[in-house]
Amino acid sequence: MDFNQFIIMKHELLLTITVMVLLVAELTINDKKRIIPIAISLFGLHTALGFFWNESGALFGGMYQTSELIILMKNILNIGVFIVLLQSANWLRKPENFNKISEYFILLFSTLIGMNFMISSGEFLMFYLGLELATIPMAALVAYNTFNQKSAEAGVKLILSAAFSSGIMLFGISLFYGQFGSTYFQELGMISMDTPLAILALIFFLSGLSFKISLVPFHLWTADVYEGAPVNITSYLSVISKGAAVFILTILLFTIFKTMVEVWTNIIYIIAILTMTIGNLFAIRQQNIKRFLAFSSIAQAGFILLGIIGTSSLGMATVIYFMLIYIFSNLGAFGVVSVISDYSGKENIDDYNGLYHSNPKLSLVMMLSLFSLAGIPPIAGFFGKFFLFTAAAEQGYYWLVLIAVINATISLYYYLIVVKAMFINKNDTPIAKIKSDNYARFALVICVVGIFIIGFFGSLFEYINHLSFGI
Amino acid sequence: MEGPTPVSALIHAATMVVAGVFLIARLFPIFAIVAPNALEVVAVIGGFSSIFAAVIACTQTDIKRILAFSTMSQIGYMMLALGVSGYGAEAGLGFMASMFHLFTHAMFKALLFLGAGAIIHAIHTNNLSEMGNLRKYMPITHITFLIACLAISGIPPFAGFFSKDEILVAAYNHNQIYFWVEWIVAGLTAFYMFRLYFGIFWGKEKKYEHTPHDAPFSMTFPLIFLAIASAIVGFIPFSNFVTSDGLPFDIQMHWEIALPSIGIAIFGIIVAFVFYKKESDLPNRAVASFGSFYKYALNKFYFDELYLFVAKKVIFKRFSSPIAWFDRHIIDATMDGVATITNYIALKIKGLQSGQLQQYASVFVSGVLLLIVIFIYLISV
Amino acid sequence: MDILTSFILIPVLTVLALLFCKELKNIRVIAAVGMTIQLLQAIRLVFIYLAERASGNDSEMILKKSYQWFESINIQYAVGVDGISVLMILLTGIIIFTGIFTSWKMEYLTKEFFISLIVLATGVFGFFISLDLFTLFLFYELAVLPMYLLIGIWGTGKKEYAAMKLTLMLMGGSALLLVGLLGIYFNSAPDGGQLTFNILEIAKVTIPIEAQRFFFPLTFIGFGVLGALFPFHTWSPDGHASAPTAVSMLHAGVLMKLGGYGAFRVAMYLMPEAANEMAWIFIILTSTSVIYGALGAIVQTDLKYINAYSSVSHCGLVLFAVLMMNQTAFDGAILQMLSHGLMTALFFALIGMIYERTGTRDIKKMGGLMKVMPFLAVAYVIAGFASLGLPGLSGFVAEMTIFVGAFQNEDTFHRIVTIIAVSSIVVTAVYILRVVGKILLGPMIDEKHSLISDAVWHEKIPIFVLLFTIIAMGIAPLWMSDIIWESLGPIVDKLVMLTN
Repeated sequence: MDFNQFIIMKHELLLTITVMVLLVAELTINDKKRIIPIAISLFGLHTALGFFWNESGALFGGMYQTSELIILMKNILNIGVFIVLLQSANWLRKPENFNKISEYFILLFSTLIGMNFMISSGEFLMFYLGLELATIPMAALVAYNTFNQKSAEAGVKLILSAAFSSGIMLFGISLFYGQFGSTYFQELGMISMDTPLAILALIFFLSGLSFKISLVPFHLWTADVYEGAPVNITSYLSVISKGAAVFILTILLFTIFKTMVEVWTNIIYIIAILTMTIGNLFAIRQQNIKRFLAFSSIAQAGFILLGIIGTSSLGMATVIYFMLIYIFSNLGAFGVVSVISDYSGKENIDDYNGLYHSNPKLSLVMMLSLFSLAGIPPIAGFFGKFFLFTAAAEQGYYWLVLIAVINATISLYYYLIVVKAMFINKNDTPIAKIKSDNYARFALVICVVGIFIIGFFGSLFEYINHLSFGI
Repeated sequence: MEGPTPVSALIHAATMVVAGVFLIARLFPIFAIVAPNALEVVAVIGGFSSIFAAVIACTQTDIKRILAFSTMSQIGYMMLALGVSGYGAEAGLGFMASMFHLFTHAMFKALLFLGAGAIIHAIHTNNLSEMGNLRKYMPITHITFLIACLAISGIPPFAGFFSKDEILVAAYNHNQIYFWVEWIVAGLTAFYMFRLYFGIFWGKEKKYEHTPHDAPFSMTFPLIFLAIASAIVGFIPFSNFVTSDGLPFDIQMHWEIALPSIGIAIFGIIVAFVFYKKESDLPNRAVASFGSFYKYALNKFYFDELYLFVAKKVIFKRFSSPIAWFDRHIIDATMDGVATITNYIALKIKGLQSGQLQQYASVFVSGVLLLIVIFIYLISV
Repeated sequence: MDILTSFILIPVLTVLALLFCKELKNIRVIAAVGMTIQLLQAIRLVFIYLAERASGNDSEMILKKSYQWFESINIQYAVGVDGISVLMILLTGIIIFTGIFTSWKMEYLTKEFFISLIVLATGVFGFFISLDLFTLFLFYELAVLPMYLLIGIWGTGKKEYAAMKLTLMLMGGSALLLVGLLGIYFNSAPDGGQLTFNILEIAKVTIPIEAQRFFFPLTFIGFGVLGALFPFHTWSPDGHASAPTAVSMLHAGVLMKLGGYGAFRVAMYLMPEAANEMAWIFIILTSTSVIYGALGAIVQTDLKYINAYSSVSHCGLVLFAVLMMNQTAFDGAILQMLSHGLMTALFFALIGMIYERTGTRDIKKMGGLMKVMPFLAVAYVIAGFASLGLPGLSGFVAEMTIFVGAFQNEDTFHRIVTIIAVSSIVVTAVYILRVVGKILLGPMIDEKHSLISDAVWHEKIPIFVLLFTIIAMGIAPLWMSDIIWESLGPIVDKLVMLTN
């Protein structure tokens, strides 16, 4: 065994080392608060190192593989996690979380390791391993506020739903193995799959994965879990967990299932329309900002499917590009929510009335993030959406694009409701002026810079496009 | 004519009102050569206007209104003249006559309006019944006004005679009916103008606020100037200058047309003299004998009311208001409706998210089954 | 630094300067200075353009620059202008300049107001200089973003409703437009070769007719929503009425022209075959706009609603002219865009000033204002005359050209719709003169009004500027007409190929 080869697994190894270090720190350091900067800086280092000394290749007989594209995906996720960590800092310092600080980081990193394995998987069992590793600690994190009923409920719902869905997914995987005799992606990709059994298996598999991405009709857990979990976990779920699942879905559909492309494009077509519409319709009525953002992210996932349905390399590129933008936009919004929730405990949209007068900068960041989600230029979200639609139009799905843009207009409506609350609605007792801590500020600055400049750097998109492949 | 007098004198006598006549004259080659039927329409409208206005003028009591309808009647003459005209040399007599009459009319009508202005300035009323015997007080105004009345009635040697005569000749040459109609109008013109004249300058003197007197020289000078003009411009050989094809031709005096026209004018003047020079009951008896026809004429045959009716009751009420209503309640409501429907659907499907884990699982499974049914059984791969 | 990009840079710099500003006085000065520079730059552009043309440069668009933005999709930041764009930029410069002065007394969140206003203007400037469909669309949507805030925060009356309705309807229109643009893009290389978003390149090819039939209506309606195409115009009355003065000026004066310009430059220019086929449907809709807007204006009692319906009518006339498909009518359409832009800006400015003074916009509650504010009243009368097309003012120039052009189509259908459109002039006269008579002349209805003051310096500047331009355009329009005429060359050539 050539140990130099393990550099291929660099991301996972570094994360594992970080987890070990944190376990040791937990045991040795008494002032638990000091763990926070340690963890954040370690992860920051990890993120930075992720851009260098990368190599592509396969390990363990093909069970594990990476490529430049996969490394890009992992780096994008790292950036997102880093921002989430920054946003969590203040909340973790609260007295009720005192004993659980290192657990937070350890569990979080464990899920990230799982997601990394999922993305890098070269065969189904490795994939499933990564999936479970990503999900189970997640449930613990969701139930983090152990004395809060909603949090505990969310945790239980997540673990049970996840178990249910991965059961079905495993069934699908086993059907694949049963029919074609292999679980390796390379091999499966070369087999022409045109039997009804394969379609059945595909549907089972896709439903399990759709569960992670919160696509309709597999999304019902989303709202309750997002609402009950602590804000920072919610942002992690909505961005990283979803993002990882999107990445893996794209890769798998374009590699293993490329022979079934006519089948799954139709499946995606239906699910896309359902997801966008249902997500939007539910978002309109929400009062709780976390639930609101939950449904908004469901709708966004529907838009991402448009990129997938454009089965070319352009399609994959737009998906990855949009994911990056979506990370910044959503984390911007969640960042503001997190700050407000930490300092005032308020989570209803009505409480945001008149926010501009007491907290102008926070309101602006929120507005920019929401406009990015809505797709208004010159903010990056516009570019992301536009390219997704271009990818779908390339394959001639004009009616789908029409439905999508109409949905985008509907989504603008509910984003404007929040903007209206902050800027236009009058409030005698708005949320008091908040002086946020440096970590949160830094996180928000990164998000704002991100959503402003990503759109203007064509080279970034070109780089992504260069790495992408299509069918 | 509600405007200030100099405004009336300028635009309502000489310039703006004749714009329509000038338009047809300017485009005359098109009318005469390409669309002679259109010219016939012009003639009919001109003839109708002239008699219509003349009848109304006989009944009015506001001196400026009388002059306004007089203008309308004279323009009817001009239109008619264009309408009966042909193109080129003698056939284009009507054209030349129309322009000639436009020219002379400007002189005496402006004079009449300015004179009316001087009168109104002196006694502060427009109403004919409040005037009388002003010749004692305003001699210059009186003489110039008289000259203008004679001119407009078509009495030689004043300007109006020559131009009106040419028009009558042209009308006679085209179609005798036009001639007879205009002949009657000539009589009516003389009648109502001298009704006006006698009513202002003769008759019983009314109570005036303060002694009227002639206007200052700045105002009487134009009157004198225009009076002289009204007297002499008839002698201009107009056909040397303005003709339908630009080439001069000669005109002659047609005494067989001129004499009857002078005759009926004098007849009209005499009737007016009898009725109005002194206070008399004759006008009232004449009015009574006309009965309701008089009433219609007095009310200008209700044309104003008709237009107002069309504007307010038809266009405003039947077109604009429904449109405004339609815009707000149908089109706007549709757009609002789209929003309302979306909200309603959102409300109704709220129940799909029940909060119950069991329901989530069953929806999950149903989704899977539905996809299976669609993609394996309904769509053959 | 090329002059065209400066039209985006100057506002951006102004906004940045405003961000760091604290004093109310400084805010106004910075905004005014910034937009004055912008206006001067626009005037300078006109001279540069004329000089270029005089020196023999007769390429379709001049001052072109393009930078590859997203290479794989062939999106460029491509800018360039022709005569039409130059004039539209001038119009925008004038209106944002006057808009700043009209808002001089804005007290509430002044900084944010001016920033939003200038961002709005940036979007418009960018739209007019763009030659790449993606860039064009980006600026088009950028102009919508601040509208919601401007109306929702600083508006009056039913402002939240109006702001939401306006934003959603306009975004809905641009949703259709997006699909149309993507359709154009993917059909921009029917004989192989690279797909492109660049307008000039697309104009050289013929998009397949089946694709055109699907995407032309989408594009035309997409732009038409902004250009007050019946029946998608309903955002306009409430939107204009609820918006603050400068916003109404910008919106009716410039933003609605984006719709007309886009319909012309994108929908008509790139898909003339479909335009020719489907023109009749849209002609019916636009001529309905023209007469419908005018008739609707007659019975309104709120000054701003009257002007809003009037704008529906006049902007409908622009689209009407575009659909007449000949050079004279196109000339008229552009002239009408310019004329109406100036005129409606003046109207809204005046209405805002009247509203400030009398506290009402209801014409039933005002009378005899000519005696107390003669300057404003006379300005209003002149604006009214321009609206009804009095010769000597800009409205006549534009409408005359449009109707001459429309009349060049000899078939009965076109003749009938032209007559309908022409009759709107009479209706316009009715509602204009009705208002003038009611509020400016006659007896004074409310004694409190006798205390109001006439215009002050920061109101006189915009009024003078706008009056000057309206009168100048009415008296000496030929230089504009010539610029437009020769810039219409390429599109007319394309249309000629159609009929052959």
